[in-house]
Amino acid sequence: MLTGNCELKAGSYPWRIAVRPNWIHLLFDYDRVHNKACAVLGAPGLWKKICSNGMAMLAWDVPRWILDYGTQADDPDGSDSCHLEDMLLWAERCLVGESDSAWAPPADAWVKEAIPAACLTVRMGGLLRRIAVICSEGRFALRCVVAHNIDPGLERWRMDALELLAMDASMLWGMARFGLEESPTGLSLICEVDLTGAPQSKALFRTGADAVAMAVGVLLETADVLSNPRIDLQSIGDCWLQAQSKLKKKGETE
Amino acid sequence: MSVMMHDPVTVQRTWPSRLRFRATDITESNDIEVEDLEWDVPAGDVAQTLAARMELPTNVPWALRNDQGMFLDDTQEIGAQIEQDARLTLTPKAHLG
Repeated sequence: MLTGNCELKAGSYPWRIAVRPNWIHLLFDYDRVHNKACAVLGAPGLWKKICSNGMAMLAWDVPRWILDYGTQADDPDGSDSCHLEDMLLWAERCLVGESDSAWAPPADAWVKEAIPAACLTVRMGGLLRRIAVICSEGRFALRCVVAHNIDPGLERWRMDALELLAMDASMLWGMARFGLEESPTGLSLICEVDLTGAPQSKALFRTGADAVAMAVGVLLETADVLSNPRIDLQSIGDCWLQAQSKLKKKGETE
Repeated sequence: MSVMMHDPVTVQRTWPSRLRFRATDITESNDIEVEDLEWDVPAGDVAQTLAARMELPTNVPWALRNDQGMFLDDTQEIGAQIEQDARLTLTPKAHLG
């Protein structure tokens, strides 16, 4: 059993494994990673950019409760749990931008069994969202729009607050990554768990859907208020302006 | 890349990704325009969401009726049951006996 933190080398990258009661976090120094595109929306895998102790890091969250610490030989037919070695291999591939040519997304029936339809709806007060299951050749992802049709002319402080909300949520919620994305109907704040290349474990896929549902459910109302210019938040806007002004003055005196 | 929902849609989707419809409650005290819901959310979840928006009690079950008086199937996607710009009535599920 892994405990505490340790450092490993994958190619030329040092990476850290932080073991927590419910999660294992794989962490990389963001500045030392060549393939930074591995952490953006739409990239295969679970890498995401976070800020840890003031440092930009890449993080990959592994839910411990789905891990099977035995060897594959012990349970060749088991599709519910997931082997740590498979998870690490998947993470490493995604980090260096490689794909497993033998990997194929799971069949519809398997997905339906792993993720019941009821798990794909997020309802919070008067807000309702559907988690889209994106399944195509070589891709499987769960995506949900947290806020949609965001006006590009939204006040600067509101956009900053939405970006902060996305960054904060990526750190708080396991597996899920967040970001703003342009779409034909405008800017959207997206939450996604990309399972492209993942070991086919029902527990992993179900946990991915739960991660999106939980994270979106908590953020929905805040994101809705921030992205709606008709809701007056002048006092918060004023606080932001004051904070910006103080930062500017501090920068000038240093 | 194609987007496939969990329950595969067999017919060509002709409606936009977000529905637009009007909803009233049964007393017609609330009349709201809805434009932000996705076509593939279950009608039952839409009913509870609209009840919250109309500040009606959310601890009772609600159903949606179309302008022909037919109840929408709670478990089915709303987009498959109504047309764009439909008028719906939010009705409490009240049973005698």
